[in-house]
Amino acid sequence: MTAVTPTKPERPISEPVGRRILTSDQLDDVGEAILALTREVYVLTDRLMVLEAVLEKRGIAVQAEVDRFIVPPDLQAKLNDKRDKIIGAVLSALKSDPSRL
Amino acid sequence: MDTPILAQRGRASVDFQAGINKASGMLHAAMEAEMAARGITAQTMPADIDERHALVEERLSDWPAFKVRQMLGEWASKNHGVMCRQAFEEIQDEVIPQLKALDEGPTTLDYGKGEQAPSYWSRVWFHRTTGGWDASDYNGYVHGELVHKMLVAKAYPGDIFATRRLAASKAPRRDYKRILDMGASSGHYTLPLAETFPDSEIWGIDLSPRMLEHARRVANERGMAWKLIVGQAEDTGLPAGSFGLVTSFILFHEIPPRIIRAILEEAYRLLEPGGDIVMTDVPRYHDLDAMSVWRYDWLARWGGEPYWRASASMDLIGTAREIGFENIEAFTMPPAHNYYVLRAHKPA
Ligand SMILES: C[S@@+](CC[C@H](N)C(=O)[O-])C[C@H]1O[C@@H](n2cnc3c(N)ncnc32)[C@H](O)[C@@H]1O
Repeated sequence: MTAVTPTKPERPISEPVGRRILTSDQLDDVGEAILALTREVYVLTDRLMVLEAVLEKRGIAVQAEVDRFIVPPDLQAKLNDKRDKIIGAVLSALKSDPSRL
Repeated sequence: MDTPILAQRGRASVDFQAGINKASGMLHAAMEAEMAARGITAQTMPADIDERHALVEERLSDWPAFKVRQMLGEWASKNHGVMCRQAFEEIQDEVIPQLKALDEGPTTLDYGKGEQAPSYWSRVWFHRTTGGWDASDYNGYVHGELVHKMLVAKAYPGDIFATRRLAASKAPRRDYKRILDMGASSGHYTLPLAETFPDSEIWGIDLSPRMLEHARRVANERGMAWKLIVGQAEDTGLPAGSFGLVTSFILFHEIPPRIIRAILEEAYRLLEPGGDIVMTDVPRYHDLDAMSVWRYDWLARWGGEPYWRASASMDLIGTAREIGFENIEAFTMPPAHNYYVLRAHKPA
């Protein structure tokens, strides 16, 4: 048999074993980081949806208009729905989706 | 002041915070249901409030949503002020000139003699607002218009401004010559007072210059001539017998009981014979069931309210009686009964 029997590659010694950088006393910080991230994700989502709405109106990106955009109620409802879904998704990873408890 | 048009990041952040508050509320309801399922009810709660907290923590320690509920609350407490300040910074170039224009007008602001603010106040960041009441130059606007109108008003049951109008209307007379609002802050209660008593001279005192600067804008915008003073409600330096009504709205829960007593004594001194006090604050613990007390105390404990428990446990009626007030009455206000009003009279 000429073919080399595939073996499980040896672990490179350059790779640390069982390294745990974060310790359990940082869990609160991780929680906070997740929320900070969730906020940013939501802010971006919001921005894109608003941008689309503005682009649709004008056919071109106009940053100032995005910042002065007064969200109409129907878009606000969609945004709130999106927001709740994003928050729900993150909380679900933490076994705490409010809509499922 | 028109409702500010926030830039996109600020607006979306405020919406996001509202979403977190909503999720938090849902988790809180689920948490209380879980507590009941695990045998914690108003009837089984221990007598001691700290033991109630310990019991809840112990029974829910393996329930993940308990930690997440706390985390969301922690996030809201720590971030609401910063978020609103950032939202303001995005629009400040446009807003500041409008605010500056309102510094001038019929309302006066006396900054006092630069006395040191008492440590029970200066060492606390109430509501855990980063930096406290005077955190930044325009904190009066940030707190009064953004935090209060865009976040608190949405998260709190009922219309928080209607409640202030209702509290103002509880004063027994309409013909006061002079009215003092203690803890006037950004003027959210001073305004309904001025509207309820259009013929009275309106005075306001507060320890926070930044908040009073906003009250001044609120008044000037309406052409109202209030007299605002930076100072301590318990030691106003104003002449005895000079007010017909001395009143406050949610001042007491931010103050230790010995100072509340001093404030009531000062109010008595400031009133002309036959004058009235109307002091509105949070419900008294002795009027609530054990679960409601636990809930208020839990929110206060993590919400930057170090004096809430002591203040809400204080016997305001007895204190008012000892000071010499008469016709002392106390009641809560509909619809949510989450405000307690102390009304009393200085003998003529
Ligand atoms: C929760 S705010 C109430 C604001 C306002 N009355 C309202 O209805 O929104 C409490 C205010 O009381 C002020 N304050 C606290 N202790 C005080 C004291 N001893 N003398 C004067 N003002 C005080 C704080 O600076 C703050 O502005």
